Amino acid sequence: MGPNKESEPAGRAAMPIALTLRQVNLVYRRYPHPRDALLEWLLGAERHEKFYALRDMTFELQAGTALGIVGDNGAGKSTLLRLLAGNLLPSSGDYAVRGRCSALLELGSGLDLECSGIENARVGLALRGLTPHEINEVLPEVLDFAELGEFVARPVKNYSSGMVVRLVFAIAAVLEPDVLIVDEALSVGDQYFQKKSLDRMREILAGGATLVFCSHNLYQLRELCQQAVWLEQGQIRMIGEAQQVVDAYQDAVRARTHPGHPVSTAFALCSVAAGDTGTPIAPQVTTSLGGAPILRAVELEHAAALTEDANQRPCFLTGQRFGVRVELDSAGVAEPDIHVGVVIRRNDEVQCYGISTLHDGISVQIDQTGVATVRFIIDSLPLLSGEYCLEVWLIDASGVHVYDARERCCYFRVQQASQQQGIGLSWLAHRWETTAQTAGAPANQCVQTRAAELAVGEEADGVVAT
Amino acid sequence: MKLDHFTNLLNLGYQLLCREMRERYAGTLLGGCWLLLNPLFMLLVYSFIFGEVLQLRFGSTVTANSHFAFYLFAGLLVFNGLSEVMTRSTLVLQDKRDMLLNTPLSPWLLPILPVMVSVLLEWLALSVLLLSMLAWGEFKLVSLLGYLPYFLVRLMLSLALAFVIAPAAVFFRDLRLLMPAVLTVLLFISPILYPPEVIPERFWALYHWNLLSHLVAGYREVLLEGVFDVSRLWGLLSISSLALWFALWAFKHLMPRARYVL
Repeated sequence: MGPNKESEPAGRAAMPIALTLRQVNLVYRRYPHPRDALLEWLLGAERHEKFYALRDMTFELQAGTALGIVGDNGAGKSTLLRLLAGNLLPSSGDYAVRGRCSALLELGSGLDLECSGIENARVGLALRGLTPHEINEVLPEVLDFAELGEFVARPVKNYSSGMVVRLVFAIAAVLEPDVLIVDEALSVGDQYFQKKSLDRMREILAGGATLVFCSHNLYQLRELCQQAVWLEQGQIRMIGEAQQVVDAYQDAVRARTHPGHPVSTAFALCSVAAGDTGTPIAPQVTTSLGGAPILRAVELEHAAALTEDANQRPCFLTGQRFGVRVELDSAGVAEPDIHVGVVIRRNDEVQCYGISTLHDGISVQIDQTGVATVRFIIDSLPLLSGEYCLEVWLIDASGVHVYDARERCCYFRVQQASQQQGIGLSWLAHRWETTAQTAGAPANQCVQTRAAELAVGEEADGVVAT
Repeated sequence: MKLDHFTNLLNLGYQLLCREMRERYAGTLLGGCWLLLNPLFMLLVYSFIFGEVLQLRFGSTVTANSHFAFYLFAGLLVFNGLSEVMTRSTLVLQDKRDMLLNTPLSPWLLPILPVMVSVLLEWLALSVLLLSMLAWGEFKLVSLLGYLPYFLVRLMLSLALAFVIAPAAVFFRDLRLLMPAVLTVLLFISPILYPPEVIPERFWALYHWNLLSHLVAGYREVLLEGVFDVSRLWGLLSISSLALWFALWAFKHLMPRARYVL
């Protein structure tokens, strides 16, 4: 592993190495004018500036591992993927990719808009080294996976971007490659195909293949990948376990977006791209397409006797019972494949806490009509004074695919009774120990211990619709 | 290069050729018929203008309208092929930029693409010519045998042009705009619409140094007269081989630089 490698999962030592990069540099030459590239060759005088797209890149990846790549725009992610896919050669250093590699890079690249999906699929498969006989064998599988219906015989120029990604993903993923490289492209697909393609990637991984996945959807990336690389200005800023790397990247993004604000490295269920825009975002409903489960209602449950704040928001007391009622329509999806996640976010974008039924090992019970009601309850709300909102996610059993989501909904306020409950974001369970040193007596004989408890407010049943 | 790699490259070239041809005629009413209609239309126009309207007869070389049509057609066979290559090569790298950067497509395949298209067009046009000659009772079997070595010369020259023009057009975008003018000059300075005998003596040097003139003359000799000039062929083969070697060498050095500015 490279010098920045932090840890290696146990049990992977015997796996062969699928990707190796050793001190790889990739330098682009920037010419003031295209003709300067030719004149430089003819006259021998240097006419370019050097731009290091990748610098001193060293790491290895074991077969069967998923590697996530994160970083800002221009960090070198796409260049690294192109290099791994064999489309670019390094300026210096060694790299090796073992086995058949299939890449899904820029959306629609390699497609001819005037030609049909079938014709483009043929070329796409030929580009991946298949013989005409193999193409004829694999083509029906590609077309089945893409599920383009009658559009498959129509020119690609008539396709929506979602249909294009269906086609290119099907070409790249049906081949069962040894190394699958996927750039940020799936986001334009519809909910159904996103899940299908993510399931396919997990299937490929389970078969022992290696995945290199680049995405701004950090939640997906964290769920799918064991390892991650954080790129910054063409260099590895951090490499290691996906959770740690993505958390560190999110911290850096938050610190940049909200300078001066405390940043959270807490468990996050939503992506930086969606959450850290730094601008107030109105309650947003993402409605999934037909055939996928949807959230029908998200409501706060709280004491009816409590007042609302000036903005008509329900107001909870610190220590009070807090509840969220989520009603969902399973749309025929089986119980084990539906889970609900809830994130509490403060108005300064700090994600206070996020958890899901998946992570807690709870099954969602669906009634005969296909509807399920799930309650998220905190018996004693530890949050301190502040304005908060919820994010509610409907995810599949893999935890990777999001069926439906409501971001920044159910705004509410928390009011603490007094400063005695503490300052900051949340009350934390704690206790105090004091030691009085008495002359001539051992210190441990004079220890006083007292655990503090969070005062619980009055509670009444009631529901506030949002 | 391993055999399976070469086979894959051939297959990819075939798939790209099919796609290129479909793309070219996609949405047109007559579709692939344009492959034949274009050369036929040009043949008819030139025959009518030069044969009927201007009544051009070039001494003993061309004596009848049918002969004149064949004579023109044979000359245009070469010129149209090279014209196709020179025009399309100026765009082939830019047009396929996405493929080049985002797929494992070998850049060596791209300049070959317009050459393959030109070969397909030439063979279709050639079949029209040979069928017409058969109908007029002027077809000679030896023509086909004699055609093959000259076709090889045409192929090597086309490849040489494609491998030089394709990267050059990345550095000089003006080349794309310049090409129609270059081709017009080439058409008129080469004895395609007229026989070399009518060229004034003071311009003979121009004729002798013009490779296209010799290639056109070679095509006409074998296809129309069944005559095979070994010394002409030998000279053409030598020069086109050298040109192709130089073009491949230049492409190898230019392509990495072209990638930077694509």
